[in-house]
Amino acid sequence: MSPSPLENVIAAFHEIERVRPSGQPQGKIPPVARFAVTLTFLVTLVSFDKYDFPGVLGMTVYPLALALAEKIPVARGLRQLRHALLLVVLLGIANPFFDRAVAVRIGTVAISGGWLSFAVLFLKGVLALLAGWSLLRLTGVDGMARTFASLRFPPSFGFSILLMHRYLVIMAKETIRMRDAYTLRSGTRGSALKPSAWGPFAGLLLLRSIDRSNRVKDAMDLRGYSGAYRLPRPSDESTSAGWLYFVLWTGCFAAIRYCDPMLAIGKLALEIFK
Amino acid sequence: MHMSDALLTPAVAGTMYAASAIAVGAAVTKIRKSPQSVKVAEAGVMGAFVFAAQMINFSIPGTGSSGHICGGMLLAAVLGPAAGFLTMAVVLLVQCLLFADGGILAYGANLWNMAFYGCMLGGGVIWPLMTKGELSRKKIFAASIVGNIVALQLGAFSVTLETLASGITKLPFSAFVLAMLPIHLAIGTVEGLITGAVLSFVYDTRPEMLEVNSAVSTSRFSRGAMLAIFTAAALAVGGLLSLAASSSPDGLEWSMEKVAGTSELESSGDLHSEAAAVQEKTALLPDYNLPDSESAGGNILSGVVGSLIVLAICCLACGALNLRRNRQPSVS
Repeated sequence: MSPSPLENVIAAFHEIERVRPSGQPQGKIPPVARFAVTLTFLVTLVSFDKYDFPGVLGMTVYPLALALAEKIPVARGLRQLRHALLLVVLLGIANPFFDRAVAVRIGTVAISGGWLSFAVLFLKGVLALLAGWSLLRLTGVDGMARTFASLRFPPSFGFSILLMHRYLVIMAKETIRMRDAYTLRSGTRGSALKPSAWGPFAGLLLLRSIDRSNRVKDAMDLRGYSGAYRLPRPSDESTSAGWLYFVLWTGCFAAIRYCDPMLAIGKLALEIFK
Repeated sequence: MHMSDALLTPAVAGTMYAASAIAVGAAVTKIRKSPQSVKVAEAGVMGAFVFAAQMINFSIPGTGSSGHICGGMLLAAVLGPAAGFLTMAVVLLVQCLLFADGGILAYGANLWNMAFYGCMLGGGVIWPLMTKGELSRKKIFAASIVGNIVALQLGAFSVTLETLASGITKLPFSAFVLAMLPIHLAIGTVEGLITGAVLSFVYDTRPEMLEVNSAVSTSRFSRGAMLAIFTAAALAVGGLLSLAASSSPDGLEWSMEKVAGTSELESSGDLHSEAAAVQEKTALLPDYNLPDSESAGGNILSGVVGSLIVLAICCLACGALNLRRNRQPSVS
């Protein structure tokens, strides 16, 4: 039997802790540097013209580097993220019908602007998804909370993320138990709730969550919570490694964006095979 | 309705980030006035609830399919709009980072399209207005359905505008809107029914939880809140809805075309020439766009700039009038 969405959520949270490169050379890079590089990658990626397929193709260097050097399971990520590409595909699929002018010819094959822009949009979607998906796996939830603190986000924001991380698995397991109890007692085959159960099921979960949050609040008050939190910084993290990481990748993205290396590679390949 | 990064340009993404940052700032400021630990604990644990609740399948009778809740208006009704908005912001962030459900660059847009409309508008305006006075199951269901429908319709419309402003798709505006709005009307109705059922259960079990947030609504909006709401509405209409403006000639132009065969009459005389020259020099955004441009971005910019200039002039004028009134001696 395939796992339910709730079980997938629990598995995804456990997986984050397994993939992170702690204790390796890549572990020296602070999470804020990874966040900055990811953001720079995304801004550069979406700034390419909608017909610039070679340019966007050049940006695949970043996810490839993550797959090879940081051992991010890119293929698994693509399988998990395929549903997130649905909106991109639905919007882009209209382009070939409205933009029929020939944009490029490959030999005798004429490719319309519509198909070209759809291909560019799809590739941008895939690369953007992989970059975002990889970020949390490289930094971890604690790393992201430290990143938000570094960027001067309100402390309540980062702390709420940490709390949510801790309680998501608990709430998901509680929901699974409630769902199994409902299925066994109601005699229904599937796990979808009947209308008569909408209110009591979700309402009970809501009230339990509120009671739990009040208990958490009391525990925080008893431990002297004042609005600030500190997360320990790993001893092997290096600020200079973070700066180097950011500068090198930003330079690489700028070169791909403005120097057209894919065009140069294409011309070189044509020269070699001529 | 989670938008991917590929659907937005940096300019549109940046604009939505700025708008959402203002909303987050307002929510955090409001939360700071309440005991800090209460709201942080609520945001964290309730965020986990929303995540878990979004995974529950609610069977839709007669369709053979199931739906799930988004949770924005549900949270706002129970926790209040500000805490609900912060919770949804955290949920959307975790969805973005953990499941790539919505891009990092598109986070500002997703926050606005889903959390702002659901919590601030649905939970902060529609819910208090419709549940004024004594709460009842009828009012709860009505407010839930209307609030969710309005929030999802505005969210879907915003997705359309943001995508078109980014120039990502060649789909015409009308086709895009016709595809998005009816689907989200159905989704909003279902979500409204589910939200109503859950809140009715909460009302039956712990009525004080809903009455706290409804009681607040019997007081009038503060002047600052009204100003903020109307400013946001003006910017939204001038900046975004202007893209939907018809390109057909207006009544006067249509009449002139029928009578004179042209919609613009040439004027003669020194006064007319001088006036035209002045207008040419002062018109920074001619024809509601950038000079020599017909871009959607120029339309949006002209709408926003125009709204802000009108707002500034009105504030200055009212301020000057107030000053004059305060200086005049009162007659007893």
